[in-house]
Amino acid sequence: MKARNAVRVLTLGLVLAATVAGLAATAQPRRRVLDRPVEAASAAALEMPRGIYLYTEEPVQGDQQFADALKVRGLDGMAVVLDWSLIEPSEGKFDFSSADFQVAEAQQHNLAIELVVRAGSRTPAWLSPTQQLKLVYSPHEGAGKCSDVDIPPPWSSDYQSAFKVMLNRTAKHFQKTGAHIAVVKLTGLNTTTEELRLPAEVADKTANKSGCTNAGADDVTIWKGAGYSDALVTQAFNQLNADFANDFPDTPITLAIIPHGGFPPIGGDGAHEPMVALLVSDAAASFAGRFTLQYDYLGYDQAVKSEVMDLAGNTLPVAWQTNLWMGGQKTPQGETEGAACGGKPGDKSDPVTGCSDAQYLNLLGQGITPAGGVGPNRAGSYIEVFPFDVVQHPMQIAQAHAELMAGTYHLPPRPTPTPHCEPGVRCPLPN
Amino acid sequence: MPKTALVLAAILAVAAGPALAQVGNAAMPIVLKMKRGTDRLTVHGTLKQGGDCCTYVFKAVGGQKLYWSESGAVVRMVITYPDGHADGPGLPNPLPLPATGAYTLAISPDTMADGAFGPFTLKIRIPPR
Repeated sequence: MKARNAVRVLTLGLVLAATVAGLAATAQPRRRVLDRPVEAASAAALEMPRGIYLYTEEPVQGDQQFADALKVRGLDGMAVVLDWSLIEPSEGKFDFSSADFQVAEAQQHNLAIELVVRAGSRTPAWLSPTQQLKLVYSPHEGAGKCSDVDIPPPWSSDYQSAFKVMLNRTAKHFQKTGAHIAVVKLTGLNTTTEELRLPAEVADKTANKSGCTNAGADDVTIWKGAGYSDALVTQAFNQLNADFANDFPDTPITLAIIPHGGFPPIGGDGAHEPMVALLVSDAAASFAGRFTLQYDYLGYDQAVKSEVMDLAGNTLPVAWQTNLWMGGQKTPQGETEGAACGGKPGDKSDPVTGCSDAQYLNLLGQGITPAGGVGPNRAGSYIEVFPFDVVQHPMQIAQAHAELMAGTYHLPPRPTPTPHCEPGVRCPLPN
Repeated sequence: MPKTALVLAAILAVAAGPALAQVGNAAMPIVLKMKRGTDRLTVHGTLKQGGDCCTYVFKAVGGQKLYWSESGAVVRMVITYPDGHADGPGLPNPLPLPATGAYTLAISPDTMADGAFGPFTLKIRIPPR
C-alpha cells in the first residue's frame, strides 16, 4: 500500500512536490482522489487576481470607514463577503441585497470582485436542525472570543444539497446582474471565517467562556460521535469543489488554509497537517491553472509561514490576508482593530501595539515577496487588507500595490548585529 | 562531512506538561549541543496555554550563522545575543551570529495567528565558520 501511494504521490509532484513527498513517507492507506497531473497555468486564457484587495466583514451602507477605504488609491479589488445565513434566511428564499450593495460599491470604484460565501457559523439555522452539531470555537485554545458553530456534518446529504442550491442561486444572481467575478473563495468547510477548517476545540479550553451557548463542548468528541473520518471530510470537500467547478467554470479559485490545527485530530494518523495537504492537492487539481493558495496571516518582520510556501511549491500562486482581529489600535468608538505589529495578545506586560506606516509596509512586504517563493509564488498574487488599515496607511497601500504589480519589493536589509562586549570584559567563549 | 553524521541529529523532545514546568522556561533553558561530527539538530516541542516551555541555549563562535526552519505551531522566535540584546520575533534566515558566546533562543506561541499552540519542530544548523 505504501508503495502504491508513493507512486501516486509522485504524480502530484507538479503541485506539491515537497509537502506530498513528506506525506508519502508516512502514507496512510487512504484514498487519493487526484491521480491526474496538473496542467500548467495558462495565464493567457485566464486573468488571475493580483494586487491589493479590500476585505470587509459584513459591510453595511453608511459605514464611513468602509467608504473612506474605498477611496484610497492602490486598491485593485474588493471582497464581496456574504454569509449563507443572511443570503438564504429561510430555505429557498434568497436575499441578495447585501451582495448588490457591495457589488455596486466595487463597480463604482472600479474594483475587481472577489466572491466570498461563508458557511460554518454562518450556516442557516433552518438547515437540518436535528442534525446540527453544537460545536464551539474559541481561538488560541480558548483565549479568544467564543463562538457557536452549529452545523450539520458537512458530508451529510442535507448539507451538501443545500450548499449546492445556495451556491448555484448565488452564481446565477451574479450572472443575472452582469457583475464580473474575478475570483471566488472555495468555502463550505468553515468555522467562523472563510478559511478551510473545522472546529477542533476541546472541553477544558472552552469551558466557562462567555459569548457562546456551546461553551464547554468538546468538538473532538462530538465529531467522533458524528462518525468523522478523513475520508468523509475529503468526500465532502470534493463534492463542494464540484459545485464550485460547475457554477464557476471559468473563474479563478482561492482556498484559504490554516496550515496547523485546522482540523480535529481524528482519523489517519491523528495529525492535522496531512489533511490540509491532501485537500489542497485535491483543490489544486480540480481547479488546475486557476487555483491560488491563501494564508490569512502576515506578521511584521516575520517571514511567511514556511509550510504555506512548501504547499505551494513552485506551481501555485499564493495570496495573503493581513492580521485583523487582534486589534492593534483603538477606534474612536473604543473598539480595537487594525493590524498588530508588536506585543503579545493577552499579555499585560507586553500589550499589543498597532503598526507604524513603515511597519505596515514591512508586513505587506512579507507577502509581496514571500520568503522561499519561486515560480509563480516568487511574488505574492494578492493581499487582502482591512478598511481600518487602509484608511490609516493610504500611502503604504499605494506603494504596496505598485510593488506587488511590479514584483520588485525588497524588504529593507536588516542591520547585522555586531559583537558588543563591555570594555575590558571578554565575551564568553564556548567550551 | 559524512552523510551518516548529518543524519544523526540530536532530538530533544520537550513537552510543557506540569511535571516539566521548570525545564525549558527562561530561567532554565534547555541546552542544545550538537553531537560530534554534525552541525545540525532537530528540536521538538509543544506549546500550550500558560506554559513557558521552550527556551533554548546554545554556544557559537563569532562569524558562524544559524540556519533554521520551523514547522507546526505558528511561533515567535526571539534570540538573545551574548551581549544581552535581543532580536525578534522575526529572525532572518540565516541568522548571523556575530559574537562568541551563549545565545538564547526563545520559542513562544504567536497568538496573533491561528494555530499558535501545539507541537512544533525546529531544525537548526550552525556550520563551522
